[in-house]
Amino acid sequence: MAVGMNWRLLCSVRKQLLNRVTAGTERNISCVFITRGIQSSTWWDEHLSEENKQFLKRVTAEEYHAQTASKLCPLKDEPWPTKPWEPGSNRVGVIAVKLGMMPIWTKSGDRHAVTMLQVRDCHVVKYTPKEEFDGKTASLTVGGKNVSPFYKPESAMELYREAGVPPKQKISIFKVSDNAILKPGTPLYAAHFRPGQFVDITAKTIGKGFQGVMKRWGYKGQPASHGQTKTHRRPGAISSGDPARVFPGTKMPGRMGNVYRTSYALKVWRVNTKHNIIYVNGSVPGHTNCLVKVTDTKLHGKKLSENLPFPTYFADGDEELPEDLYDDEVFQFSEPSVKYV
Amino acid sequence: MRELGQSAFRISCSQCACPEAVPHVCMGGRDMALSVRSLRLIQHRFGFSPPVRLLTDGEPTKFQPPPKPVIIDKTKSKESERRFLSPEFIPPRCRKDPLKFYLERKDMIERRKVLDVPEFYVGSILAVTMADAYSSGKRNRFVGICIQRSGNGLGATFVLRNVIEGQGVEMRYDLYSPRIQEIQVLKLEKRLDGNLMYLRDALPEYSTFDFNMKPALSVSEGEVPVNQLKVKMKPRPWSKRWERPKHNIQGIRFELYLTERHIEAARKLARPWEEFDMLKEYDTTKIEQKVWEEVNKEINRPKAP
Amino acid sequence: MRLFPGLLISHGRVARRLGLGPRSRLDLLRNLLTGLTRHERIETTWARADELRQYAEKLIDYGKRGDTDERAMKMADFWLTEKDLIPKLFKVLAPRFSSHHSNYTRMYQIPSRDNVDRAKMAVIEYKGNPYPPLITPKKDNEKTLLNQLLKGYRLEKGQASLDFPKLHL
Repeated sequence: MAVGMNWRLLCSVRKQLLNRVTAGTERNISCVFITRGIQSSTWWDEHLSEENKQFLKRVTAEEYHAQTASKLCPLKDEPWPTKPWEPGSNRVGVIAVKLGMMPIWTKSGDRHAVTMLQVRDCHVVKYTPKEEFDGKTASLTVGGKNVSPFYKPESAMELYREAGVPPKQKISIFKVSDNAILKPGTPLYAAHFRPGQFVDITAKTIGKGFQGVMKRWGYKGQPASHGQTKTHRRPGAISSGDPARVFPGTKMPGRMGNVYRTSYALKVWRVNTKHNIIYVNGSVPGHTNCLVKVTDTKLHGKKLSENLPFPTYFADGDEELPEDLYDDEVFQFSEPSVKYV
Repeated sequence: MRELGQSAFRISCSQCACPEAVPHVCMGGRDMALSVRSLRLIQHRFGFSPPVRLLTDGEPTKFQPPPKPVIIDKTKSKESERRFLSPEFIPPRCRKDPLKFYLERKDMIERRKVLDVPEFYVGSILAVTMADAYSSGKRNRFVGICIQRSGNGLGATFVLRNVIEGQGVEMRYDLYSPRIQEIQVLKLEKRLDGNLMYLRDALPEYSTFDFNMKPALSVSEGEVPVNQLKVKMKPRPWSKRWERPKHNIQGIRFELYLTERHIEAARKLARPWEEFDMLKEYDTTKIEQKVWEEVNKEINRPKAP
Repeated sequence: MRLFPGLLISHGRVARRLGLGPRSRLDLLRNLLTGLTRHERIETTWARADELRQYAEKLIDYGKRGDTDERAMKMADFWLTEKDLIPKLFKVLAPRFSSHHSNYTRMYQIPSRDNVDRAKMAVIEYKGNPYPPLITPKKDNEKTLLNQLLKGYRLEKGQASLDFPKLHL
């Protein structure tokens, strides 16, 4: 590549551009030289000097840290009155980050796989009363995981400013009963859930792209040999002669994954209150580091609402929690080894 | 016969640092056996048991009680001088949150405070005692050579292999399973390879170990010895084509089993440029240093009352 | 699509596929890197430049180890096909970046090439090269109203934080 020549070209282009800036008349070369780097024209700090930019960044970070920390005490900040639990109440859920999986052992020596979910900067952002939502239940909007405000549109920032919380990467709506409503700005913690209870987890599954029926729907395919021609992984017949059409919803090849899925009634084995980790039985939809929605299970046999903190766990409440909460069956690593008698 | 006796005698005396050349009891199996044997030989030859003074300068001396045997328990390992970090502590190269690995490490350290997990490598011979609800005595002890270590974090595992009554047996243990009662290193050594799965295709004598094996002298200082053993295999086909460069096996005597054609075919699969792909490198020295300090600090910390 | 190098290990197919295969990919990048080391600024397609960039930075890291280091020498020998450039790497480029930690290169997009395939093009260069800069430095906008207001706020805030030095972090 003739680098020298290229350089000359670029140099001349620059000279022309400079000329254009000074003269302001030539418009025909305007699209010749487009360079876009970090400092190019569409960023929030376009018109700011370097010191002001650094200052704004620092101040915002400080402010958000303060907001996250000060909201640790929502009770002091004139909370809404808390009401006791009644049968049929629905608590709010949280938004958590999926960290990954690890094994856990029970006291009988059995091994289970658990998924670690971290509740990171989770706040109630908005309360919508029954009348405004759907006429049946009230709803709470919950946001999780702080993000930079500089890349959020002003319309989105309004929501967070009202609640007095930093902007969030993900928000989602939870239907709650009237006695479980929380004031916007209330932080939610992992201790909202307790070991032994069952939770439902909703997230977007990993996108697998365009897949055939064998992977997408678990079809068996056709034999590899015995006279098969070009028919090994194909679906076979998709309808018959009588309807003479393909029914809507027939299982066919197509895009797989990247849709919301819910895993129901996963047991909570352990909760870490210091780092806000929930250890949930088994696997959970979504990739590592994705944001998942965790709620109390809606399956009837698995509901255990009486002994849970209602409407949520308050960090400055009366309850003193140890760093780790374990289910009764879980083997804690500081215990002596399991022995059978 | 005489030569043998004398040489054996000399050996026995030169090995233990005693001031006088007197047959005496000396700890350690080999030493003791030799000295007793040499005494017997002398008895046989001269027909009487040699008095102590005969072996000194010929002058009668005062009776000296034989020195007390110094009992050194060689099976017990001293505080290891080597700096060893178990490989499962090193997080893999991935996009997971470091907090996840930190939390796992904390649990691993808690477990290590209860159970002493010794230093061992692929190629070491271990005896693992495990709680087993279905065996008599509710415990199960297995001896074998460690042929693989895998997994990281709490899910770390190792595989032991032995041949019992002509049948190859492999046991995969979770390193942090609470059912493990004891892990004992019978022989600490490394082999030429980091993975000995090819012992499945090797002759059974390479993976046969006695269950009553005594723990060998532990190497507490310096490098862990590398056993340069190269194994003979069963006839091909093997479970995997071990000659291929992706396995990078040093410990098989390939020249006995492969023709020039096979070697040539395997060589074509080599990817010599991969070592220059700088993005495939994963330098763990800094991480290792950090984790080692963290782990050591935690393990040596006294328990909170 | 290129993701960060961590995934190059854990899943197979993350780096861009260039050339005719893995061997050819490295050969292609090797020639580009040799050109970059010689001229310190080259023009190529955007994808290649983006892929090249990581190798260019890693090579400087190896250069910093010094020419007595065996591994560094092997790397330089592989990546610089024209051997007269090896001293340049160790004697010129490595000292130039000795005070820097990373980000030894700069990359700009330039207009797509219009003769063959409309490919997206880019310029990649080592920082500190002798050529004049490609982009005019930012105009001094210190005197604008916005900046002046912010500056006033900053100074006031700084004064306040001096009075109350306890700050949340």
